Amino acid sequence: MSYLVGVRLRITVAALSLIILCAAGTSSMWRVTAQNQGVRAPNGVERLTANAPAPRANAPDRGATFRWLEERAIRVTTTFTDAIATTERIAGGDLRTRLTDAAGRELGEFDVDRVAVGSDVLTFKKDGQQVLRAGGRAGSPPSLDWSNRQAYAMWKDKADDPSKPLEWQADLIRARGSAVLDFHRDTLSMKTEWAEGFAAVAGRSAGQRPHPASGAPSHGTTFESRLLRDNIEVGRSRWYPEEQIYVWSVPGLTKGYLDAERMKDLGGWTFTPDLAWTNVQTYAFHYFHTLIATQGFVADAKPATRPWLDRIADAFAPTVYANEAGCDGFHWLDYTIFRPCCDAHDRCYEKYGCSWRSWWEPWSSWRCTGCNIGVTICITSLYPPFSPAYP
Amino acid sequence: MSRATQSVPHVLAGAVAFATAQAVLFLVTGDTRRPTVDSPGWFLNSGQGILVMAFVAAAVCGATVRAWPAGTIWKGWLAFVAGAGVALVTSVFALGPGTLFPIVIAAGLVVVGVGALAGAAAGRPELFRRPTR
Repeated sequence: MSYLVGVRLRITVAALSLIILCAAGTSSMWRVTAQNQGVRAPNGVERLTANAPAPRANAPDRGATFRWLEERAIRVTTTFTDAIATTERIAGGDLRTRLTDAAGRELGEFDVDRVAVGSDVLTFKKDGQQVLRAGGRAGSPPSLDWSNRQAYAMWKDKADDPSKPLEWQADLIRARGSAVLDFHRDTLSMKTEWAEGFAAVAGRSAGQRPHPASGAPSHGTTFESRLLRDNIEVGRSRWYPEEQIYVWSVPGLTKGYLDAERMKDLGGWTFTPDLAWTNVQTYAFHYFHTLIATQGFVADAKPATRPWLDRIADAFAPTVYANEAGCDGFHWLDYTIFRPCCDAHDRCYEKYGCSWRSWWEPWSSWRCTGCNIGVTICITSLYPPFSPAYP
Repeated sequence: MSRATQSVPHVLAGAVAFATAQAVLFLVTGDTRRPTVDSPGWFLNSGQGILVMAFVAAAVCGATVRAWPAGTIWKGWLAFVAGAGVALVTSVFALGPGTLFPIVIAAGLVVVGVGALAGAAAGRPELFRRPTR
């Protein structure tokens, strides 16, 4: 009996060990979150300390679709109150930022050498002299917008002063003890450029304006992004921070708005929209709705780099990448031929104001029930949604 | 031991295996936000997560049916999947169900079920052999 107990114990321990090992080995986790401060060596890569966790409201929180669209951008120009930063994506996916004053005089240069995913080398130069060469922060893939903010912060902090120790503060390298930068206030405008002549120009304004919902005179801030193609406007969107309302119009393709009520069932705003986001989102509306209009949901573009296990799993389903929020709770389907089913279901829900409760309260709205029947048939049979409730 | 209590280890193993694997997936993705079914760590949001969950179900179910034989592999497998299913449904509603939650639950049960069946078969291969005369 005791022998049997011993065998069971050994098997249980072995199984649990196996679970922990395989789970730990499947991802590039156990990431380093705090790095050690070192001396500013001329060629060595410094590891800076982190005195605060990475912020919640950063680009990675905005989802894979946002990152993919942002990575398609070739250049971002940010106009701050006292400087202009321009980051370009160069060969190998590296980023190069040039910081100038309003007259075009160079204030600094910032480079992101993307050695490998999660191990970037960041270099800041001033007057041609290398000021910093440090490792990137794990879990924060650099974006063009971030590079502009980082270059600006290094300049504002006078990072070339060797007596000022540098450290990670949220997602930026800052001089220890430096004042908090308010990028919402200090950023006047931002231009994001993509291939094929697309550019989105966003600006912030404050003052008298109509209330976005009622139209009544009111006072507040507006982030407006205008999407241009070959310098001709093809769409625009506005974010009203005080009212938490986002409005967009891409003539001939899509128009609409999101407010707190509509966002409630989506979990609310999980990040703070900024100029960079409004530019990418406006471009996204045009990009994806053009695909939907011309190809009926489907595009064969998708993120180029995905975990190798995902790629193996993809062998079982053709890869398709389209738009919108995707398949809630089952986002692996976002990369498969089932994605259009989820997209149509999302639009159906949005059109008729449905929520997850409609699954078990079918009597509450027959249209929502139609949405649910349609997505079930679509996913189980790959037959296009045929419910008359579908928009 | 009654038939009902014979299944208890399998049910518990299923629930614990699912909960542990899912918790580890959330941890390893390094996402600092409150986990939801839309988080990168939710097992159905990536091929990696699906394969990890299926493999864990296979390993634990195989070990469980071997350590606590339940007569047929079906009984052990069913009890294991039931336990994992309870943990799955609880997780979905605790994390916040999405707009496709019934499909998510069904798909999750398929992943766990297929993995567990493979593990159960590997753990008790003799049950597949024809009885010799």
